[in-house]
Amino acid sequence: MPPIWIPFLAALALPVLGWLVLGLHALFAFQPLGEDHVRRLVATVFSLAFGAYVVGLGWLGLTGAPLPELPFGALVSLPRYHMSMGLHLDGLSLGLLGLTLSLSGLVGAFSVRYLHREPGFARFFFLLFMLTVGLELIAAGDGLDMLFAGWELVGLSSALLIAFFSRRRGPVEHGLRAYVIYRTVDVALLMAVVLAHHLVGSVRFEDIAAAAPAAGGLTTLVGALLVIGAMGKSGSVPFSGWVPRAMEGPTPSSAIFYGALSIHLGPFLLLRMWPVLEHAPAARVALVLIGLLTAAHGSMVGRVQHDIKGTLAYASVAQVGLMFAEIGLGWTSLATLHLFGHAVWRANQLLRAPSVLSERDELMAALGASRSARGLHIERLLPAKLRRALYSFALQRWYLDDVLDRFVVQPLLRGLRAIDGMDQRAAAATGGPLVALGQGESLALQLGELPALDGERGAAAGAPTRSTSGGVA
Amino acid sequence: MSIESEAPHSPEDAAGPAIGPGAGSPHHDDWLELILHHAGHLVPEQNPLEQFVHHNTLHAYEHLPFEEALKAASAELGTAAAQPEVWLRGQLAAGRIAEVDLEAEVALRVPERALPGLSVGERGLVALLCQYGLSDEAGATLAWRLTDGGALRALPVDLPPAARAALEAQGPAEAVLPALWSAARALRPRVALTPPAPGLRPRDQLVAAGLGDPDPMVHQALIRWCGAYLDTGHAYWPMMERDRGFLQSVLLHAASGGPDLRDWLEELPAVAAGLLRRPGGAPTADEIVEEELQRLQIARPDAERFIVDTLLALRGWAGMFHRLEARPDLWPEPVARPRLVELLAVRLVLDRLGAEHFLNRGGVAAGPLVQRLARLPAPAPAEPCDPAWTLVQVALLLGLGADGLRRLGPAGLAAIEGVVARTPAFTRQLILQTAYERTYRRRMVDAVALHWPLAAHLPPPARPSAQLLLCMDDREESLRRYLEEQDPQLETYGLAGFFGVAMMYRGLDGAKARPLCPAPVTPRHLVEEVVVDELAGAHAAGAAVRARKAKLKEGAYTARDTLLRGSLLSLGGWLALVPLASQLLSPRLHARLTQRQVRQKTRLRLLRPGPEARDGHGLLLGYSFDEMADIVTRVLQDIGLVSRFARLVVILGHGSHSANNPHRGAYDCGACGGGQGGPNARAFAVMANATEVRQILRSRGIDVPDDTHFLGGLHDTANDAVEWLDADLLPAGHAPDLAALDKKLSVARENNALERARRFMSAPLDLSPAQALAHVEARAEDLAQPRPELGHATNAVALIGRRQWSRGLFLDRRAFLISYDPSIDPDAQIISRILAAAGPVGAGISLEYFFSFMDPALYGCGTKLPHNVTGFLGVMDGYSSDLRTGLPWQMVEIHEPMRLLLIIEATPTMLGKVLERHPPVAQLVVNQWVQVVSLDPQTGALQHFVGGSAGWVPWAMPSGPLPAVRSSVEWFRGQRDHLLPATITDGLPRPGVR
Repeated sequence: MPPIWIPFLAALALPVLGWLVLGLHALFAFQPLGEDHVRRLVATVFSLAFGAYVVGLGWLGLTGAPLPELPFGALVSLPRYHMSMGLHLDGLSLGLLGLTLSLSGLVGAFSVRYLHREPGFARFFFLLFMLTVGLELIAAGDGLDMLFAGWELVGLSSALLIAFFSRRRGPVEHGLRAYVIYRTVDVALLMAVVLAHHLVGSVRFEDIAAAAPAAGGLTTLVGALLVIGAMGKSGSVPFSGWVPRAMEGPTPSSAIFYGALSIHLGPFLLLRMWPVLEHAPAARVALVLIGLLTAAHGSMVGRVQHDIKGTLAYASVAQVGLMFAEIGLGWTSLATLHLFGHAVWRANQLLRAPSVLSERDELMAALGASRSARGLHIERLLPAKLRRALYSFALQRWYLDDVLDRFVVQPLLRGLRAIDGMDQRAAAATGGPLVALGQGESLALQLGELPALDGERGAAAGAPTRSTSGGVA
Repeated sequence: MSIESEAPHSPEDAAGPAIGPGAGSPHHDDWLELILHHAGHLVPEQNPLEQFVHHNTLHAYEHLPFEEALKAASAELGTAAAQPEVWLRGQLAAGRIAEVDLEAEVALRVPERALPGLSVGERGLVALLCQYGLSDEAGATLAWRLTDGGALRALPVDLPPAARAALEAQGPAEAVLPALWSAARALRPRVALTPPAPGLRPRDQLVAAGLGDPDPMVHQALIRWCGAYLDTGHAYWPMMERDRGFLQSVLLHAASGGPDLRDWLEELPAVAAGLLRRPGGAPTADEIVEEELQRLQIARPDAERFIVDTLLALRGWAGMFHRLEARPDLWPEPVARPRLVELLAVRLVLDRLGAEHFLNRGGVAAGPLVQRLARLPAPAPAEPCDPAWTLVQVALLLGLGADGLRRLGPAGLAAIEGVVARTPAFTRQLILQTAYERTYRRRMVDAVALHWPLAAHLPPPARPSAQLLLCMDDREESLRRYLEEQDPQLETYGLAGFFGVAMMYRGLDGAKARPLCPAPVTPRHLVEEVVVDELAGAHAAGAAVRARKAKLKEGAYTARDTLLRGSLLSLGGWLALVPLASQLLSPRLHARLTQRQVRQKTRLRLLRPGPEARDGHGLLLGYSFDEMADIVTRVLQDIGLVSRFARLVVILGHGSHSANNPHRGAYDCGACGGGQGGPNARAFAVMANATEVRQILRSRGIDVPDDTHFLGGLHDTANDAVEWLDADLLPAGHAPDLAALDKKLSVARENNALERARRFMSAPLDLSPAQALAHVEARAEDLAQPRPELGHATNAVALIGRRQWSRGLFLDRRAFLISYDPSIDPDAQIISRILAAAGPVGAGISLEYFFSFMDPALYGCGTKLPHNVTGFLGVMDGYSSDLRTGLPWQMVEIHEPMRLLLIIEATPTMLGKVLERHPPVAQLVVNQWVQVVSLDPQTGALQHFVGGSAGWVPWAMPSGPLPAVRSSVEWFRGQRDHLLPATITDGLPRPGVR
């Protein structure tokens, strides 16, 4: 192993260690690690990892040569089928790795103070480490399989952080929605991986890049699948609904995921797979159209949001849509610059989202008067009825979520319930009313309490008085 | 301080209207208005975030005695009725509630009766129940507890030692417990309960029938409209035609918005168009409400409950609608005209559509809504209640086994059940709560009683070295203590932080004037800050440059809303990494580097140019000399400073600045309506320094010596910085006085920071004072700090009287200190003034913290982490939720929830006169919303107001001496928790020579 890899390996391994420490502790100790220990672990891991990264980067700069590959060996090695794993850090990966370590570290520094005395402190950092590990896999993996593994880890940690306040209905519902969208759309990414395996015999980026020009129609297919796979994480139309809902999580998690890192994984994937897209013009056309449509959607819907996190969510979606369009048009350097700049800027904005009041005051003080009237261009151009219709359409977020719910989710659920109904009827026809009694239940029978259980089983949510949506903290 | 600018609520107002026609209301048509008036009292009353003021969350119930109010509020609002019993028992176990106090409170409520067959009497049993609790599990929960829950396998962890010994003597737990249970079950079978009738709303009936809950769906749609309508400038495209009213706006948007693709709202465009195109014009909100009520066949007597239930389902937004309707002056840019009745109308229409959708989904046959609801299946049976479980728990507490239970006989069992019925959970919680307050009251009043003789009769210094007037805020208590500890000749005074100057103030960098006075007061004067004359020209010349810079700033600000500017800024966005890193990793350094303190020299335009000079809004410009003299006289009389003026009299207002905190208004000065008291202090100083004013004062008997200079300042309670205002006007001869005071202040600030830092878990206990100051400075600048300072989190007591007798008493930053001199107040005029202001303010702060601690989900706003500032008005939780009102958990978590204890240096007769003159104060006192103790100015005798037939009860003189230490630091060093009062000998007034 070339020695230049050592600092990078250290930078990659440290978050994995942090993740394992928190995870194993929770698994075996039955109670979360104390705040002090978690704080020290987080500070140590991120500062050392970032330091190692900087050292490695400096070293790389001095030598001037690109970083060689670091193969781990083959996972599966058959005559016609070879699945190897290894690490590969080129310019783009180094950029993402640096962004990950720095922003995760900063958000970690933010969160150790922000989440002080909050139940779920250790859980938050477990999920933050999980995100970092996932991102490292995406950045440093040398093939689509490692990228996919990291992709899933990022998706899972994202959904679990949206549902961080698991005692309330909203966060859990929206976390589930995000996760379902991720997994559904990732089918396309998985198909792309499988196709690549099948066609090229390997999933390493270099092999795919070499094989891409020749494959013709299949390249376009893989390209299209990659585009679809990128759409889920980046909240492209029609999947944008989950992004504002993702703001249910604590502020720092919103910042790191939907400002900084997770939302940019779509463009990152496309940039990484640019050699395929380069030779898939049809996919690129679709990409441009989707990107522009997403940008229009994000911009238009973002303008009518009345809350700061919603505004920032849609602003992110719009900018990522623009990145899609830039990639589709072939301007990859612009897209890269846009990606990294936007990541830092948006994370900054999201971390400062609670300051929106003081920022507004400073602005008013600087202006010395009310804000200049905005939205005047649309007022000038359109008649009142059309204006109202457009405003309504934007306020209802183009009905994207509702259409998905109504025409995709509900029919699916109806089908599943029908199958479940058939299953229940079959079970009732063959079995008895009681399924296996547990120990508790047999004792309850002895005590004469079991009849009470039957009567209680079908009771609906009782309290018929006030319904509150304030939620339980 | 929740009252509107009109007259404070009268008890009749808050009692709510009699409902229905003919029941006291003269006009048949006004019934809806009356109902909404009543509902308006029940929804949370909170100002937009920028004008946050503490107020009694349960202000609408102040006409009821405290305990009844808790119960009534809980029943009507669905909130917790008292502090959680588990928490209260924990306080008892930890010793915070002393056993003697628990017994005393039990003795007050429970008669002493013997219980047949038992060794404990009724009081003893109640005390046991309070200490160990009684759970009312039944049905499936109980079945679980008896089986997997292990209740029949082992004795409970929490048992009186005697009972445990008795039970263990009877045999192993696995045998004793099931036998006990069988015996109890044999004696008392299960009792089936009828399920409560479901509520009147269609949603309630759907939920009771198990068909699901349409409320989340309805709320998602409604919140979008509410947020867009009430937005005060956040959205780039504001909602159009808001001046037509919420109802019209929504109907217009729904009707002309194209088809609504949400399945449950498919009919909404048609419904809206139908309403708009009715012959005779669109119906008003009142008419729509009446129609919906008729459609649901809700009779007039039930209408109030129905409407209140409906509004309370989304109470935060309803509260904001109501508040803005009542106080349109709180709107920065009044574009919309929110009315609660319109919100109700829209909500009822949406509720109906939602209910219909759920009925369709549930397969209920079509038809009129009322018929469909009637066809719903009956609600599930209620969980039976289980008297046997009660008997088992009581038997365990008494150490009785199966035999012992059987030996009690029917009389004994009936007696036990009677006691249990008379002490439900609410009663037990109240007993523990009052015992909690009693322990603190006992310790605090004992401390005052023991400390009083040490200081009260010492003659004050002939000429104090300096005098400081600070806000009565509990956070200033420690700063005053540290100044007094350093210099026995230094005197401090406490009063409301607006210093009598109720004004609309426009600072140099403020676009709009804001009121700086208590919330119920409407200011009539406008005061502006202007650059000094010499610099005025340059300042005006620089205006164009400033305007251009501001435009750039605005461009950057709105870049998030636009595509092109957004992309351009993103391209350079990575430059933000370094400032972000520096601010997160070293907030103090970052603040120092980025804050360019180029402050202009300014003056306040305080003197009115002509007798009737007004501005465009009808406010008087500034003050005349007579008005100034009135203000100064009143303030000096209130605090008792009418002679013996020092050379330097400092007026110190306070404010707080913190980063990333939407609730920063809650940390500012409540007496200034949620603003910072610096301008008030400055204005008072200028007024008191004016020669003409001093002449008028002299004619009124207040002789301010010519060498006395008043100086205003601002104390930032977050980073403990003190800034002098108009220091350049200080005469040269006073510079040494100011320098001496500055030195004392810098020591005081560091010690103050040290005392504050002991409460912060992230600050080690062995910090030096200078390190503590650095710590709090970093905290105030830290983006990631949800607790930049603790605000009023430790408030508990208010001392009203001369500082003489409370000086040198360590009050742990828990006391509001108001200066008052009874010797110049023979007919209770001054104390009336003080209590009329301070009473509701102090009670408001204390009760807001009390209720936000009690029910953080409904009275408070939960944890700050998911908060999402919406429309610059309030915060939601995350994506889209009800508007959260009250205080965040981070602000109240270390609070000790108690009613404010007022210790007033006035005889009960004088206080009686005050209560006669001010009914709102009387209401608070008589209904026990605050606790009052009277301190006789001559003898130091203390009496506690218990109300009822007893009236004032003399306080027994405590025995033990108060612990005494040399300095405050000695007393709190190394401790994180609340501390008992102690005498600080350095701080005691000492007659001395210079």
